[in-house]
Amino acid sequence: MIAVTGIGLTSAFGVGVEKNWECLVRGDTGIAPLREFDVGDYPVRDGGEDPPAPELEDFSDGAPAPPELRHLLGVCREALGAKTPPVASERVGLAIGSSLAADRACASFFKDVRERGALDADYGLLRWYNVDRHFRYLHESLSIRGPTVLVSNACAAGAGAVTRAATWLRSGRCDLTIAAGYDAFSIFTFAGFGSLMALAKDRIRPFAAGRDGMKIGAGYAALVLESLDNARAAGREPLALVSGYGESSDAHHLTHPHPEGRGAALAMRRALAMAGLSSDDIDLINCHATATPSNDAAETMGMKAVFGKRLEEIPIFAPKTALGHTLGGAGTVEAALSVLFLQNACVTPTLNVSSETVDPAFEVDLDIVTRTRACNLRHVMSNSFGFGGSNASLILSLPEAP
Amino acid sequence: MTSAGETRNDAVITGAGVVAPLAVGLSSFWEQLLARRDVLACSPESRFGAPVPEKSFSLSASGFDIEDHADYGLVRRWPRFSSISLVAAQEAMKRSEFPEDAQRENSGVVLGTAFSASEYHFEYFEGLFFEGLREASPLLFSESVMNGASGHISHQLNLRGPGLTLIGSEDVGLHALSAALDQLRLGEVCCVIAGGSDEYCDVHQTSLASYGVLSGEASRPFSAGSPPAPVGEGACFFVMETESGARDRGARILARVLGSGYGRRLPQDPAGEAVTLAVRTALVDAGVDVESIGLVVSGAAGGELDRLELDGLTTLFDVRRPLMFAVPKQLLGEAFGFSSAAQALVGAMALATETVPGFGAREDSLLPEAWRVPEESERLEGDSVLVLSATREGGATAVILGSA
Repeated sequence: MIAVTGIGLTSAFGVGVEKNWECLVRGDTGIAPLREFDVGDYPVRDGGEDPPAPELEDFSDGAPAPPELRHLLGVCREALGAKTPPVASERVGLAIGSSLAADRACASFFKDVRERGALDADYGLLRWYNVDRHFRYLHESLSIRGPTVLVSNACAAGAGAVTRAATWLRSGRCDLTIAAGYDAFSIFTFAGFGSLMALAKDRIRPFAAGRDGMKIGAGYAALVLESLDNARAAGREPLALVSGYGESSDAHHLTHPHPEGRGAALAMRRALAMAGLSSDDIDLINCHATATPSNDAAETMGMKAVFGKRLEEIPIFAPKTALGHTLGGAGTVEAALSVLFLQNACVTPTLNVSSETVDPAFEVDLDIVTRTRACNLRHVMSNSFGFGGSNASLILSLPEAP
Repeated sequence: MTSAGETRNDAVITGAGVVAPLAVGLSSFWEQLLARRDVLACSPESRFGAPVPEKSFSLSASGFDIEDHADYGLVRRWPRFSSISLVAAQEAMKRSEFPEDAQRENSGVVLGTAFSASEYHFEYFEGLFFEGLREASPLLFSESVMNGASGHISHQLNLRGPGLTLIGSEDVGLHALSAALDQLRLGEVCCVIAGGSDEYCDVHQTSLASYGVLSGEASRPFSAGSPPAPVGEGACFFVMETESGARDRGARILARVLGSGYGRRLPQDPAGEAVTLAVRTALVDAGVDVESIGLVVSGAAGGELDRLELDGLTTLFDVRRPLMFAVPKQLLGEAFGFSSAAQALVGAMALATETVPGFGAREDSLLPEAWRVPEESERLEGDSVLVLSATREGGATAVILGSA
C-alpha cells in the first residue's frame, strides 16, 4: 500500500495548504482580473495568477531561481515538512508533472527578441528551457540523488507524476518519492486556449447547459509518497493512501476527447481494479470538469459507463470553479484536495453551478456539492484528462487505523 | 528490483524503427553506422534570423522528405517532431509483427524528448509576441503541446493503454525505456512503444551553442580537446513486450532489457557521482555484475560529458580489464531524446549481430589504456551491454541490455 505522508499546495489563493483550505471552505474563488499580463482588448480578462513567490535560495552557481521554480520547491518542502527526507538520498525520487515546464523562459526570450532583434538577442535566456536545469535546482535544494522525470501529458500531467512516483515505489527503485505538479499562469496557454474558443467569457460553469469553457489558474502541489509499512515503522501516520491509479489513451484525436468517454472510462476502471474496489465504493468524484462543451460531455459519458445509475448518488466536486484550470498541475493539485477532503471528512463547494443547472442532454442528475458538506469519505476518485487523449484516474483512500 | 508481492516480468525488444540524418529505417541505419557515413552538413539557414552554428546533423540537409516515408495527407500540418516520431514508431511496430488486433487496451507509448515540437512552439510564441493575443494560432498551439507526438502515435497505432511523454535532457530516451520496463514488470501493460525523439530547431541550436553545450563542428568523443557535438535530430522507437508474451507469440527478440538505474549528483559529490549511481543501480536491477559487460554504448559527445562518464565508470569498472565503447553521437550529433534512444538501438543491434561498430582512430584518447573505442567493426564479446547517458546538469541514466 502506498501512503501519502505529506502534502504541499499553492494556487491563486496563495501559498500553503492552510491558506488554500480556508479559501476553499469559504467558497472563495481564485479567479480575478489579470494584473501581471496586459491583455489589451482581449475578450477574456481574468484568471488565477501566481501569488508572490517565496524567497528561497538561488541556484548553486549563483543564477537566480525563477519564481515558478521557487513555488515548486516551496510545495515540495511543505509536503516534506521542512525536514531532510528520512531515507538515503539516492532512494528518494522526484516525479514532476507539468504541461509547460520551462515555458516562461520562452516568453522572456521573445521579449528580448522583440526589443533587440533575432541576431542580437540573448539566447542564454533559453538555458532555463532545458528542464534538466530545473531538476538540478530541485535536487540540490532538497538534497536528493534518486530518479527525476518530468511527465508532460498535457492536463493529465500532474496525475501522471503521481503514477510515476507510485511506480518507482512499487518497482522497488525508491523508498520515498515526491510527486509534484505545476504550471504557472502563462500567456502561452491563455492565448492558446483562447484561440481554441475554450476560455469562458463569464464564469466557469461545468456540466451546465450553455457552458463555454475554462479559466486558467496557476497551481503547484506536491505529495510525499512512501510504503505504508515504512511510514508507520518510522512513526509517520499516513494522511491518505494512493489505493489505485489507471491511465489510458483515447487514441481518437489530438484535442477532442472520445465522444463516448472511452479512454476516460478505461482509466477509471483500471484505477478501481488496482484498488480492488467496485464502483459502489467510491464516495466522491473529484472531476476534471473543464466546462468546455465536449470535455464535460465525454467525462459524463465515461462516468455513466463506469458508475451506471449510481452516478446520481455520488457527490461531485469540480475544483476548477474555485482554482481555475491548473493544467499540468491539476492532477496533483486535485489529488492534494482529495487528501484534504478525506482528512477533514468534508467536501468544499463547487461554484457557479448546481444540480439544477446540469445539461439535460447528459440525461443524468448529478449531485454537485454547492456548500461545504460533511461526508464520511473512504474512497475519492480524482480524474484528469488532457490533450493527446491522455487520461489518468487516481483513487485516494482513508487509511484504516493500524 | 520489484518489491515484495509484485510479480516481475522480464522485458524484451521485439521491434525497432529509426529516422535519422544518417539513414531512415533500421537496416539502412545499421549499415550506414557500420560504414561510418559522415552526414555532418552546413546548418539550414535560420528562418528566424538566428546566428546558427556552422554545421549540424539535420534531416533537411541530408535530403529527408517526409512525403517519402509517411502519408502526407495525414502529417502535412504536423510538426516534424510528430511526423518522424510516427514513422519510427510505425517501423518498430511493423518489425515486431505485433498482432494488429491484440491487446490494444494494454499497449501504450512512452516517448522521451527534451524539446518536443520546438519549431512550432517558437513560431507560436513569435506570432504571440509580434502580432498579439488575438493572432495566436490554434494549430501551432495544439500541435506544440509536449505530448502531441505520443498522442498521434497512440491514435494512428490504436494504442489505448497509458500514453506518457517524459521531458528531460540528454538521457531522456533511456528514461523512456526504463519507464516502459517498469510498466511491463508491474503488469500495467503487455506492450509499449518506447523511445525518444527530438527535432532540429535553429533557435535551440543557437541557444545551446551560446552556453557551450553544442558546437558547430565535428566532435571526437573521448579525444582530448574535442569540441562538444553539433546538434542532431531524429526519432528512434522500440516495441517492448514481456518476455513471456513475446515468446508465446513466437516473436523474434532483438535484445532483452535487463535493468535500469538513475542517479543525480549534488554539489559536494565527485563529478561522476550521478554516473556511478546510475550504473550501480542498473547493475543491481539487472542482476548482473560489471564483468559481464562487454560493451558500453556511451553518451560521450566530446567535452564535458566524456569526463563525467569516465569519472563515474572508473569507480566501478576495473581499468585494467579490456572494455569497448561505442560512441554514436560522433555520427548522430547531440539530439537528446533521439540520441539516447539511438544509443540503446546501437546496443541492441550490437547484441543481435554480435558486432561492435568502429568509430575510427582516437588521438589523445582520454580512456584508460585497456579501454578503447574500436577503430573498425569488431566482434562483440560478452552478452550484456551497458547503455549510459549523463547530463550536463548532474543527472545520469543507465540501461542494461542482454542478448536474446
